[in-house]
Amino acid sequence: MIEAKHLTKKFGDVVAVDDLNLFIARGELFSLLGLNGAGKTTTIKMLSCLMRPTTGEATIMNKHLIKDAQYIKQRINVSPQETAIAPNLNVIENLKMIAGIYGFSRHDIPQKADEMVAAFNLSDVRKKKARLLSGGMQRRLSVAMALITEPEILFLDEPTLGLDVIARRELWAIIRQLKGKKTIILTTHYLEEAEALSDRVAIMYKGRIKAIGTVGELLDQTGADTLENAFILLNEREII
Amino acid sequence: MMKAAWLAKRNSKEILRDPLSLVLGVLLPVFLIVLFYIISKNAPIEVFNSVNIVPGVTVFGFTFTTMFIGLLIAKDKSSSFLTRLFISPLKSRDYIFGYFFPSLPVSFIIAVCCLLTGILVGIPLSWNLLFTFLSFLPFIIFSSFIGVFLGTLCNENQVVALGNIYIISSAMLGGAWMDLNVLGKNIKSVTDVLPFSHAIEASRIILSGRPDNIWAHLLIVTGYAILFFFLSIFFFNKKMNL
Repeated sequence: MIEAKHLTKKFGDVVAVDDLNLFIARGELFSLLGLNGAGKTTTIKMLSCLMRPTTGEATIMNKHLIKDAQYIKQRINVSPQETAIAPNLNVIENLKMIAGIYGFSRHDIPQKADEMVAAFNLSDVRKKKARLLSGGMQRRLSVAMALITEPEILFLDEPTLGLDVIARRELWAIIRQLKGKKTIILTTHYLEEAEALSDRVAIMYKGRIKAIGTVGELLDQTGADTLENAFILLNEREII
Repeated sequence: MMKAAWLAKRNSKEILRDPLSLVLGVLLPVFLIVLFYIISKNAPIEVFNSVNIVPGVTVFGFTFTTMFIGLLIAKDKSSSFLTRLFISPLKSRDYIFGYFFPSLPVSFIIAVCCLLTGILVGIPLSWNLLFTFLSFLPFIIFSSFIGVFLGTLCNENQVVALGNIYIISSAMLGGAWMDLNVLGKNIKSVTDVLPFSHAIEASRIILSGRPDNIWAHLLIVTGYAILFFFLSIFFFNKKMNL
């Protein structure tokens, strides 16, 4: 589904992503973990056709990341780190707009928007302007806007950042429902989130993948009892 | 083009639903026209005559669309909304159309409100009103693309700062409500190479029915519109890696 070979991104002298090699299977929920500046967001930006790699290459759904960008863009979507919604449009208008931008027919768009409103529990606020929604609802809307286009691959960049515990658990439940149906690449600072949701996890440090595998495999590799301890151990090894 | 239409629709709604658009774009020009009408009753100065002041204030109103579009793009950049769009299958031309188009309904509302107010303060009803409206088009296009240009290169604070300078400069250097000759020969020669006074003068000629040539004025404004059309496309593509 996603295959990266020697993917590298440099900004001047700074190497943000360094020789990244990765394979993510169809239907997998894959988490990228790392400290701030580890290269998670840059990796997502490259894999979602937002940023050209400096060197290396990648294929998404067996299509070339650069040459077939238009094909890939039609079949992926993202929920960015900051809640990316149109503030003066209401919930239903936000959803319809994204479906329209992805080329869905005028006949299908209202039905799809209604489906998303129901699936994301936004019925009570469907006519409310997005800027007036709570943080949790804005985030749900942001993910719904990513899903209304029926992407085969969904990038979730820090989807629960800044949410309270209830809103976070609600979003987890939605992500769990997607498992197996969509290929999901998740970046998060919350290790319990990665532990609860992921099929596999990669831990990045200074642009490189330091460890990759299921949570169980990472625990075995490090001898830690939790993913959090494994993460700390791997990062400490690098810092020392 | 349908995809671009969805973006344009969204952008139009964002601008038209912002109360500031109504206050600055429509109410302020209408207020100024009425204010200058009252002043002209007490001080009969030529430039305050309704056929002179209405085109001047209308062009001044259009400069706010620059600020609206510039701010919209700058906000979309900072909120990651543009990131969402860049991952979508939209193409470069879709963005340019999507961000340019909203200036048309906003400018249409500004022009209609100003001209209707003009009728109330003494402009006679004639076909000249329609031709005056059409003469605004090059400046409307120019205002929109300079907005795309500013929004692409600047953040929100910079757009506000530069937008204010642009709006005030356009009014002062365009002679919206003053005779440019009072600025002196040197500044007058600067205003002659800028589009503002030409946009105002072309519409003043049409509205007053004077037999002067409008084409030289419109040509200069059109030149600026074309220049900023290409500049905005170039910098938008460059900054956004399209």
